[in-house]
Amino acid sequence: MNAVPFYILAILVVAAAAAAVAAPRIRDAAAALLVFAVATAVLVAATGAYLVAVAEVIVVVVGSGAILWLLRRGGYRGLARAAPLVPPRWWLGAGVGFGIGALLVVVFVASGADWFQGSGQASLITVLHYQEPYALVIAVVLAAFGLGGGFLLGRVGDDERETDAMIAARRHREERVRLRREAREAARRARREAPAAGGGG
Amino acid sequence: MNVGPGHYAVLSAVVFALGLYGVLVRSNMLGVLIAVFLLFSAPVIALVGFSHIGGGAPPLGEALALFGVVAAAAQLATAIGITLLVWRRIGSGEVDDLMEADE
Repeated sequence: MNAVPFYILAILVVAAAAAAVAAPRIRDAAAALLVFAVATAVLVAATGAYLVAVAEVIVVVVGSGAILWLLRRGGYRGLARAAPLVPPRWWLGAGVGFGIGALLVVVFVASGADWFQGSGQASLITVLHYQEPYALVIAVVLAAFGLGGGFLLGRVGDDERETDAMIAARRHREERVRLRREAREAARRARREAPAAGGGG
Repeated sequence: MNVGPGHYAVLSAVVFALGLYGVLVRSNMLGVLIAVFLLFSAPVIALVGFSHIGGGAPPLGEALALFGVVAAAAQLATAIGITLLVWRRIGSGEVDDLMEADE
C-alpha cells in the first residue's frame, strides 16, 4: 500500500477515534464511531481483507443504529446524558492511555526485524472453510450467543413486566394510604380548630 | 515510499491508547461501550496489516482479525443488553451510579 493514502486514512481513523471518546454527547460519539469504522474498513480493504472490512462496517452500523434507535425511544432517552467537555479523571485516562500506547510502540519498534514472512497463497474463505473450520464454527457460535444474550438481557420479559406492574400497584396503594392519612389529619386539625375559633368569636 | 508493519503497529497502538482513555474517563455506560469497541478494533488493524505485509499466506492474521470483529459484535450486543437492563433497574446509565447501587 502506498504511504499517502495510508496516512490520510490513518489521520481520519485517529481523529474519529478521538472524537468518539471525547464527544460530550453520546449521539455525536456514535456518529464518530461510524466514521471510524468506515475509515478502518477502507484501510483494511486496501490490504485485501475484504471480508474483515465488510464485517467491521456491518457490526458498527448495526451497533450504532441500535444505540441511536434506543435513544430515540422515549423510555431510554435519559441514557444519553451529556458528559462534561473536560471529564474529572481526564489526567488519569490520558496518563494510562499514553503509557500503554508508548509501551506498545516501543515493543513493536524493538521487534521490527522479526516479522514473519509467509509463503504461498490462500484466501481467507479457504482457510476458514478447509483449514480452520473450528475457528469459523466458534466465531458463528460466539456471534449467536452474543446476540442472543444481548436480546435476552435487553428485552422486557413477562416476569419483569409482572414485577414492574406489582411495584407500580404497591406504590399506588401506598400513595392512596398516604393521601387518606393526610386528609384524616387535616380533618382532625380542622375539627380541633373550629371550636377554638367559635369560642374566640 | 511503502507502508511497513511498523505503520500499522503505531496506528493500532494509538487507537488502543484512545480506547483505553475512553474506558477510564467516560462515565456514561454507552460511552464506555463505544470506547471498548475501539479497544477491540485496534488489534484488528494490526493483524490485518501484519498479514498483508507478511506475505499473506496462509492469512491467519485475517482469520484472527475476523474473529476479533465477531468478538466485538458479541460484546457490543451483550453490553447494550446489560445497559438497558441496568437503566430499567436503577434508572441511570452512569457507571458511578452502578457502583453505588451495588453497595
